[in-house]
Amino acid sequence: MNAVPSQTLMAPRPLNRRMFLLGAGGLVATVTLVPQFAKSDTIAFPNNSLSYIKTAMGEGAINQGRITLDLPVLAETGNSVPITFNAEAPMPDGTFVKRIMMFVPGNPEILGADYILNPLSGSNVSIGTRIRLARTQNVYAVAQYSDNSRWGTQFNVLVTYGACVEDIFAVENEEYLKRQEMRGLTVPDELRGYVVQEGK
Amino acid sequence: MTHLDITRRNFIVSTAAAGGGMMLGFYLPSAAQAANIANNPWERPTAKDGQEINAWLVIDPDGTVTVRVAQSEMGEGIFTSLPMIVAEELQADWKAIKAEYADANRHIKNNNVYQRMSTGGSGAVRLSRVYLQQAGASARERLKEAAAKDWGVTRADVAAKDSVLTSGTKRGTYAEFATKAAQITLDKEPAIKIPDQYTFMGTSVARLDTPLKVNGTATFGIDVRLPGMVYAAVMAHPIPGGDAGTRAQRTLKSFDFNAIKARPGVIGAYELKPQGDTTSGVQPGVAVVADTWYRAKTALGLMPIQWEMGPDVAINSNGLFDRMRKALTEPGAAVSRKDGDAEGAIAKAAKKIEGVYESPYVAHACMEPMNCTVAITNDRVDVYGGFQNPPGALSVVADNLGVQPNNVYTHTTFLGGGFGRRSRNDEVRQAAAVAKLAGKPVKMVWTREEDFRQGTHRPMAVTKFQAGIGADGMPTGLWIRSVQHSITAHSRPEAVVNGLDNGAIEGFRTNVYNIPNQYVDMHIRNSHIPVHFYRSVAVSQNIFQIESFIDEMAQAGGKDPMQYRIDLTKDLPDYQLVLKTLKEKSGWTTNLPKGTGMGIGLSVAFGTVVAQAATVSVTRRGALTVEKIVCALDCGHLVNPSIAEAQVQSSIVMGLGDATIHEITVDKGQVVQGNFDTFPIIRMNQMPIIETHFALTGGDKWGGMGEPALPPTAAAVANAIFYATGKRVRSMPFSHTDLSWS
Repeated sequence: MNAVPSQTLMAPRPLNRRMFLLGAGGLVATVTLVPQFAKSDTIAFPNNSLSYIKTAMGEGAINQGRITLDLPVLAETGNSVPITFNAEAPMPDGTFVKRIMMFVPGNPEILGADYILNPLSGSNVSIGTRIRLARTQNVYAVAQYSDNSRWGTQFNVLVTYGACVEDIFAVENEEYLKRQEMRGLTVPDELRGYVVQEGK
Repeated sequence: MTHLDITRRNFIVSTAAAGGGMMLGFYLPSAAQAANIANNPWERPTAKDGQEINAWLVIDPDGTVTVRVAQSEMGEGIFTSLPMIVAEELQADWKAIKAEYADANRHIKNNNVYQRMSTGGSGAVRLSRVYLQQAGASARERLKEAAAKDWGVTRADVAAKDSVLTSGTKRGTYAEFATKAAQITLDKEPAIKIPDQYTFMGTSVARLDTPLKVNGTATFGIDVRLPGMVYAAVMAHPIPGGDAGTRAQRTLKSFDFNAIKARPGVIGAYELKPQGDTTSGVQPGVAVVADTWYRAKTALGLMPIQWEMGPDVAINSNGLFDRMRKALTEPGAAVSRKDGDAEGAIAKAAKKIEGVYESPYVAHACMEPMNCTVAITNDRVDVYGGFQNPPGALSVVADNLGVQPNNVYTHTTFLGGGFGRRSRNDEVRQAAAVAKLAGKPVKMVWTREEDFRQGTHRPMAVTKFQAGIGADGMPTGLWIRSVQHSITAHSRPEAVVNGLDNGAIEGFRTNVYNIPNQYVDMHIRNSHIPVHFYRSVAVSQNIFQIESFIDEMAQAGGKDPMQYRIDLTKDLPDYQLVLKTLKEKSGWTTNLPKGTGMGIGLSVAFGTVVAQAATVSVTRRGALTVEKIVCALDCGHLVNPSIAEAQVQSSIVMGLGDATIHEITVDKGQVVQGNFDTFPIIRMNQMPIIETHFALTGGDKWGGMGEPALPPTAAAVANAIFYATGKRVRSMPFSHTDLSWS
């Protein structure tokens, strides 16, 4: 899949920006130590998820970091895989997470979850749920903060028995892809999928 | 249902050898031998209420350990092999182990606690092994912990073996500590054994279900009896399946109940309205309900029924094959594989060959015809039958009747053959509809004719192969275009993108041969005939096709087919082991006198690599005898070698049938075959000698055993026929090819 081209990152905030405390009277303390909006690596999301992200979150690069996924490395069945999204929030200047989307490109439907949050969602954004995974795949999550920055991550889950599709030849397909690689033959993205093309 | 009464089935009749007298032998199973599984396998095998340690196992006060089995017993032996996996870790005395089916209702209420309850994809052992080992290990450690607490020692000081816990001079049984163990939570679950540590898995213990099947007390779907139950015979529209458009034109016009109303035992006749999917839903049809099944079936057979046939009445097999052959040259094929430039390599090659191969629809032909029993009350629905997917059956009943899934209880029986057929649940949906109409518990059984007529069948396929052979006799390019009736295109169309169903061309797309330039594409050409997974699925027809062509390629290059395959899989250690084992054990040769021949077939399915060498003889007039089949395979590891070997034998029998005689044809839109006179299956006198050799690479490989030995058989036999007669068979079944030679 193509990497999302890098675009201009948000300009770093001044160090002495006032910090808003939720529900407080507005008294401000100057904070000397504020996490830098450090220049980060970007993360490429599957092609078919980009239109969802664009509609929900607008354009822009997705930075790597801030959101983490808690997923098992191996799911014995894809029927019910526990997942937790954790995102750093609120940031010292009061930015909060306003949206989290999750994509499962190996499933018939790529959009797996979509959460809309507000400042009252709390200081520890941690959302736990269970998802269905059709087969072994990378699970992607992107969080959009109220300053419109996007932060994302991915996690590879090995599913021994797919849920959405009776993935009866998944083993054979994995072996085929490994063999091709071993023999120095490139299999283009659009020919790697099994029954379902990656990211329909 | 007790089985202490001596019923007709409990007799074993034997005839005296001399003197012409007849001797009746009575076989009464001893208490110890009997009932490791209840004859109703969904019921507790012991009368007692034991202590549940975890969802997978219960320990009774007398030490009996009941293991719950989440897959369905259809002869593949899971009622033995899965408890063996738990027992390996649990370290219970195997003689105290009994088994019952896991409960699908509990499964859906408890967040899929049994992980996977469908049976298919040769997956029972390989997909559940890890968590079954975990369940057994967890229970064992909790028992040890309970004893440790009681005895004031640490868990590490407690040994567990054969249902006994010991530490120094202290001794206790699993039964004594079961209740305490059930309360314990471990802070860390134990690691499971690796194969090198197995002491029990890998041994050929006797099957737990054999006694029940020998003495006839095993309950299959057709054996279910409920109080107040009535019987239904059904006939769905004689032209089955289709798509929504044609199905709307295919209807039940009328039926004349008055003509049969007065017949003995007849209760009612009901219209079955179409519901749900055109092949797995309820088809338009009619059900006759009576107080015995024979009366229902006879009345149904005599009742005048008028059908609107619809446009599919114009469809026949010749037309379907012609359509597929035509598609071989039509544009718009979906590309599945593209290594290098196969067309170019073939065009430039020293020698070019091509061939078109064809395979028909084939019926599963389960020995037990489709059936299901449904009992509806105000607060629950009970469903009985041989389900390969009990949670699926549960949800179609809930859906059909509009009730909460939590109130539907499935009871899986033994299955008289599954082969994939019993995972579709079309008969379940139909039985639920009949039960609702009849207002009583109903056992619905299809006649054999209905069973063949309604399908669902293994898809048909036509494939064209082209290859370029280099000056050195080795292949430079392989080009494959396959035209398939796609199961997925009907059942899950959203999973087929731009006409590509990679599952349908399994074996082509993923062929293992190290040929530099390869190209595979496909066309989907579906018909109205309902299709579903057949034993080994796509490779059941695809391997005959590609493996026969690989032999043609070998012969075009002047190569020995066995060595050819060894050379083309040089970089794959498991294939090398399997092929070399086969070469040695079969005494491989292409140098037999005319009229006899050896042929080879190679395939992989569900992670298991299988190669077979068939020895055949063909009379000058073309009568074929398959004398011997030697099979070498690598499934990684074995839980029960004798059960695995039985799976090889049964797969080969089915593969042999596919090769030589199985065929479903269509005329006037309807399936022609109705019974085993027109759809013959392999009989005992046609059985070849079968030798099985396990050539296991072990390690991380855990391949399936239920299906993988089926695909290579047809190719091995076809390739042997070539060496025996010089004739190349290009279509299944081989009965269509004249094998005579001079």
